Amino acid sequence: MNRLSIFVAACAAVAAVGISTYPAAAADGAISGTVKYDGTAPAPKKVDITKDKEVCGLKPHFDESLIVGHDGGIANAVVILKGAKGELKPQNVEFNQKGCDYQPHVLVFPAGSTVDIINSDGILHNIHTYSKINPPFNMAQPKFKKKIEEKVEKPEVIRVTCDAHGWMKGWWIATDTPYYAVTDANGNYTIKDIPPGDYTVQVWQEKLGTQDQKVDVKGGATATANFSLKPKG
Amino acid sequence: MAGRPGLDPGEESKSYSALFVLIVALLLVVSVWSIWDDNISRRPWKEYQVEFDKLAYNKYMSDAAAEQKTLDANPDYVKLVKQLDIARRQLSSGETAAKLAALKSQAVALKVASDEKEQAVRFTKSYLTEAWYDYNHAIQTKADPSGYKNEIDQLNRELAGENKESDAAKAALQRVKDEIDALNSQVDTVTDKLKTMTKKRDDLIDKADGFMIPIKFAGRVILRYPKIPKIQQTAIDDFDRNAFDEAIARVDRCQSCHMGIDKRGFENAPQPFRTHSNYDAIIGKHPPDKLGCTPCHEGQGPAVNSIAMAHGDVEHWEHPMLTGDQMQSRCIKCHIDVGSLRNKAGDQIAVNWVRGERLFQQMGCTGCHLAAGYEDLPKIGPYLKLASAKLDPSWTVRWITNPHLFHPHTRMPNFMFTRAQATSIAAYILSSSAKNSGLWLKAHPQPPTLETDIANPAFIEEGKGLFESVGCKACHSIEPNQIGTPVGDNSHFVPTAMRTTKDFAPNLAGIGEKTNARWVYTWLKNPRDFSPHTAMPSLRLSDHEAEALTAFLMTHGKKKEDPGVEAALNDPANVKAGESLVRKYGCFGCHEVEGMDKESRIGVELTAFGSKHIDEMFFGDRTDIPPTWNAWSFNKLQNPRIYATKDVEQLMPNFDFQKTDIDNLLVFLASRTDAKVPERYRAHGTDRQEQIVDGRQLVNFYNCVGCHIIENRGGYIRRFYSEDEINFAPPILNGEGMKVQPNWLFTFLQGPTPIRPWLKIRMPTFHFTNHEDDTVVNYFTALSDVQVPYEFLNVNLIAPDTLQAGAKLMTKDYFNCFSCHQQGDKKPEGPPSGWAPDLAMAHERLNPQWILLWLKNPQAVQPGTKMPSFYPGGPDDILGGNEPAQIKAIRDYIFWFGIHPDRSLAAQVANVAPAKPVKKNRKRGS
Repeated sequence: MNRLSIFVAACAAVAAVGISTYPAAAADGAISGTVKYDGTAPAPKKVDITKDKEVCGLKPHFDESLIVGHDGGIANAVVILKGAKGELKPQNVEFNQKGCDYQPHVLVFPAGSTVDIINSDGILHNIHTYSKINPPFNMAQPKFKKKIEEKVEKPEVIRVTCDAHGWMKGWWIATDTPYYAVTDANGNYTIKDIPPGDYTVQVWQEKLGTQDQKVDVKGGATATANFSLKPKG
Repeated sequence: MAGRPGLDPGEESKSYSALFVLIVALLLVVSVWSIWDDNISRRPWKEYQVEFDKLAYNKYMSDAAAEQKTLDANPDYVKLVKQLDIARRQLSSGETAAKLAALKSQAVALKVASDEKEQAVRFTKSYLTEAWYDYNHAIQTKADPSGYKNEIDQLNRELAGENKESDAAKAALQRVKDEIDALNSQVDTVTDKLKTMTKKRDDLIDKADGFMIPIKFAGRVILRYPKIPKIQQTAIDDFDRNAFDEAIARVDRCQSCHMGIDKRGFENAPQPFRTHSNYDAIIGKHPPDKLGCTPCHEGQGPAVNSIAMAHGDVEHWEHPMLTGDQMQSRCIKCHIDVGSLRNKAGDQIAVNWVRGERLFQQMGCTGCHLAAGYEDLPKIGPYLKLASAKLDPSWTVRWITNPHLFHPHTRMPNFMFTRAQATSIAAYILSSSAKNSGLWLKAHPQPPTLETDIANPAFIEEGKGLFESVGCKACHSIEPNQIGTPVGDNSHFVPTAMRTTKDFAPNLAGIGEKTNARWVYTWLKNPRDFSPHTAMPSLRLSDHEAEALTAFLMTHGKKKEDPGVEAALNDPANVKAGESLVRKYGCFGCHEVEGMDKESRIGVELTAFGSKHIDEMFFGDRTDIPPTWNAWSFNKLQNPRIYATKDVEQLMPNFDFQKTDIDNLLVFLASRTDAKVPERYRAHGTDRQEQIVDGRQLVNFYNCVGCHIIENRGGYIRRFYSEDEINFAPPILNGEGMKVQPNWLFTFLQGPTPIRPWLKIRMPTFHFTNHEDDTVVNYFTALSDVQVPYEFLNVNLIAPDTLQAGAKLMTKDYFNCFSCHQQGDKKPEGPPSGWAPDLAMAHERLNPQWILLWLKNPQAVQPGTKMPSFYPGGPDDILGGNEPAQIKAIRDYIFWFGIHPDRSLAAQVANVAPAKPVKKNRKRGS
């Protein structure tokens, strides 16, 4: 081996070490904030239970399309780092049909994950997805079928309904980024383990649409991104 | 010879060699030039071929190189190559090599020895033949044959010995050969394995070699030269007919330049080398070596001297090459059902032709123009024999003057009449229909309550609700400037544009201006009472509903009386002038007009319009329009009287077609040719294709697609349903022929009975004749390509355990079918948006085979349906978890309880119980 080739090999080794260690060392930033409703909070709208009352009628049902909590915080809004790259770790997430409601109402997961659709009610539900990118399906889930597993391969916002119980409406959000969160009852969220950098944070709410915000995340620090969503139209 | 008289010695001694050289040189130059011209400058296609050969060679070689890369990345291949190398090296070195060399030289020696022995045998056989001849000859000449007999015996002995030796020599040679083979065997097997692996690469190299021919030396390519260019020609025998109606061949040389047209892999190559688009449907099914190119593309097939010549863009060539959508006009030459031609992705191929044909039918072109295949289409305009019972006189005059002012989207064209002409026509129409109108009015008295009811706001409100819900909006729009069902292309629809998408049914925004409440009421009750052949169906409205709807409609538009109209319409001179105008302009082409039943079409026949030569087209004074079929026809449709001159009148009215519609109509019109393609070149036509074509004409006339999606088109009313209530929309009829029983469909169309009684929209009664009804049923059956008759179910033969299993599967604990499906009179729980049809009707309505497909995967049968799929994943505790058996059991039980609604399952089981073991035994035995 001549001198030149030793030099080249050494450079390559240094470069390889440098590349492999760079991101791991830095993914310790975070973003947190609150998603608020810019308007008068709508009064909870009760939904009439017209079917299978012995199971579905045990508790009152409300329209879940816009739930505003204390201080105007919006529940079930989805916050993602738009287009942020990172390793997607597919997982098994649970989507429970309980008391003729979807729990959770909005389910977020990285694309490639498997949704475990649970029927806790012991009556016939059917799970009907209105997807366009992933293949849509409409599966009956009778009493004897406790669990259906459904893999969602591609990123998409998917509306989910039960045709047997018209009021049951939910959402699956398969993301193309590992950085996402859903707001809690008061509209708060936190996304952790973010490598430092400039990002676009996007919030999505089923009735209010999307909103973007630029955020600079510094290593080891928590950046803030608050949103205020106006009623549409 | 000097001194001969008249001879000039000076001349004789002159040298002409310079001139001779000059002439010879000139001759040489001319010869070279003529050879050059003949072979090169007048053969531009040769350059294309050389260019393509290089292109193809480079492509296949680079493909081969890419394939080599894949091979190199394949560990199996690398291993085999190594094995081969090792095996070869073993053979060429050391002991094995020496042994092999020894064996080879031994084999050569043995081969010589064996051949010698073989030779000896042959010679002896010859001697033997000679001896036998001598022997026989001796007998015949009565000489003594014994000497010859001895010789024969002697020779036979020798032959036996020689045969043995020869066999031994051959065996020895074979042994050595076998030894050599054994030594070579490893190399051979590895080589064979490698060959199968590298087949793709080798084929590519072979292909490349076909374009640039290699000269090999010692197994290596040392030089390549391009193929010698050659005319590529397809002769299509008997394809055309000459002026004497004799069959003549058509010759296409297009592939002399378009070399890649029938080869995959040149999709991105520059023209003229590109692969044909839509390869599978076009090239795959229309091999150019049999059908050539010009049957679809036109152009001057045999010409190769220039692009313009080849493409027929030269003077006096009647059929220049078609481009783009225009090509669709050629499919009909060989295919009966052009609308069903689809590409690999399932999309319609002749989209523009299909749209053009639909426009041609729906715009009523056949009212004035005869066209073979479209002779019997019904008249598309309103019935005018009772016009005076219906129309407001002032409105009628305004309408005839220019209908597009009242309804920009109406199908009625603008005849550009003067007001005086329009008044005369109205005078004739109204007065000729007055007598019959009087009789009709007498027979259809106005309900006494009508006048007060239509002013009642509650009625108007109710009527509005009916208009919104009962199905009117499938065909009619009531918003000014909107369309109900588009005729033609509505993707470029601009509501206020002059040229616009046409509307299938009248816009009702101004109905109060046009007619009166009494007529609207009677019309709604039963349109055929007024107009015997109308496309408008009866919605089976009650008297009350009809009044309410009338009340609502009459709030749209008010009468506007033009002063003096009444008097002008009653003027006999006007009536008389009107009659001759109606006759001249052919109003009876679209309308039934009193006294004009026997008139014939006033327009030019269009059966062979596409073959019309440019010399036969009258351009009038227009010099600004290019002398082509396309330009003439486009301008004619855009402005029908464009070619009129001072002395040549033109009558065709203006439809205000938009450009896309004209383009589509041109594709259709270009397909009306007099070409007769011989049977053997045509696609095999079937009755089913004819049924589909007939059915489409009916669908076009009655506008079934206003409500229903048929062949993936239409369902225009669906735009008025929200996502949550789309279930209330009329059904999608894709696959209807597979879904329902033909007998049921026939009866249903005669008198529709509600399948989902909770729907507000109604399937109307079209008063189909038996023939029309058959046409619809056959259309759907043919579209689904189902076997008729179906395999029907005899419910009395269903095993009781199957029935029990089916019943159990439908219960609440399992599939809970009645959660959504109506059960006789019992409605499902919840709001009607989640309800589904009564399963008791299934046995007389649905195809038993279809139910199996439906239960197995509803989404595959009807994408987006609310019916969920239950399979795969049926319960394990019924019928041993056998899913096909479970699906069949549900279907069987649905049929059984539909046929025996009064019978209990328990009684049925008890009844048939004794038969049970027998059946089980039989099952076990089989």
